[in-house]
Order: sequence, then structure tokens, then C-alpha cells
Amino acid sequence: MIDESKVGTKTKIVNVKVKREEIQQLCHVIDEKNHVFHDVNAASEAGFEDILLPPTYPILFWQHLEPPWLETDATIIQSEQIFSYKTPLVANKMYQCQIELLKVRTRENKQFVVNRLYINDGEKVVATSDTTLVLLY
Amino acid sequence: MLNRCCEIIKMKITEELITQYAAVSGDKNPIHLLKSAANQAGFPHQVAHGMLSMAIGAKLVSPLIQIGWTLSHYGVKFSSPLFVNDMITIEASSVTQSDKKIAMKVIGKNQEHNKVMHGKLELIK
Repeated sequence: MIDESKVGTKTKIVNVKVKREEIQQLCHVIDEKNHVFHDVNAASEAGFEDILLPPTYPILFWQHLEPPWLETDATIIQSEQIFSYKTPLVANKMYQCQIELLKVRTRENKQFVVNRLYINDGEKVVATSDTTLVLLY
Repeated sequence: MLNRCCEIIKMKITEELITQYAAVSGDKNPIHLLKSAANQAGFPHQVAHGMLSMAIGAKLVSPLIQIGWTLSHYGVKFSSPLFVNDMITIEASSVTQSDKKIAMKVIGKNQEHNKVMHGKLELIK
């Protein structure tokens, strides 16, 4: 079980830059055909500097970050997800990412664990992604 | 403007779709991919990634993003599991709009009309 005293623990900060092809792979899977996610000219016309990341794309940033508090044999189920954006995220831009263990609540053989992914452009937080996981022991 | 968005989305959650999402997302939790693992965790079939449903749901507002609206908030709770071969239907309701903000509730149901996710979307200008 996750020790509740670990709340506030953060992963290291990792640089993440998403290629256009990676965005298109996700769009292909979910059948997202909107041009702002595929065509740099359409994105430019809509006011963006490159093609946009689909709204839920930041969850894929978890592949670059391995929160040590989730190294467990428990079955993990996601119960809630919240994305908050200050600015849209775009391809070919370097973001600095870090996950924090935000909350842990234990009830019998379950733990409800809230993890916050911070996405920064330099010093400025441009988006956060809160992922609530249920760990079943 | 709102006639550009919020068309009901329906998508069948095939095994291929789950496998593809697992590959793209890196989430290869066996409850998504193996019936035996799903059964062991107490589910009758492989469980679709909640994030797959949420990614599909975001398509509700893609036409608004296309014309310059910016997504500021997208939050959902996953109410009950969606399984392989289920059909998800996602729709918006209670849509409100001003010059600077559009907000809506979003709900996803399976083919038996059971709620699998619900939450809200907000866009700003």
C-alpha cells in the first residue's frame, strides 16, 4: 500500500516534445479527423503555431514518467480524470513535465490515489492533468 | 456556432481498438488486454481504457476548436466499466454559451443505456 506520508512526492522533471506523427497515431485510433490535429496550415489558420495535441493527449506523457509510488502488484483502475488548460498544447514544442502524488485515501483493501501531472512551458504551468486511480489489493 | 459541435458520437469498442489504444498510450494493464486478467479482477470481459472513452468524447468539441475556441477544462468520472464489444454513445447536454465561454455536460452510455462516464467540458475564447 502507498504510505500516505508520501503525499507531495514528485517525480523528476522530464522534457517532452510530441511529434506530429505521434499525434496522428492517436487520432487514427480514435477516428479524429479534425484538421487542427493533422494539418499545420489548418492549425495556423485557427491561430496555433503547430498542430494541436488532442485534449486527452497529455495522459500519454505518463509514458515518460514513472511514479515510484505506483510500483505495485495491486490491480489499478482509473476512476476520474480532469484536464485543465491555460493554453493549448502543440506539436514540436518542448514541455517540462512532472507528476506529483496529490492525495491518498485508504479504505479497507482499496486506495484512492490522485496524481497531478504538471505541464510547463518554462516556468509557466500551461496545463495540468489530475488522474484518480483506485488500487485494489 | 453551436450547430458546429456536439453531434452524438457512437463507437464500437472492438478488441482491435483497445489493442491499438494500449499500443499508442503505453497502458498495457492486462485487464484491458486479457480476459483472464479481467476475470481475475472481477470483470466478465476485458475492460476498455477509461481514457479511450474520454478521448473519443473530446471529439464532441473538435469543431469548436477548429474555429478558434480553446479547451480550458475537460473532466470526467468513470461511473462503470465499458467492456470489449460494447457500443459507447457520448453526447453533450445543458450547453451554455456566451461570447467568451461555452460549457456543457458530457455523458457516455453503453448499448444498454448504462452510464459509463459523465463530466463536463468548457471552452474559452
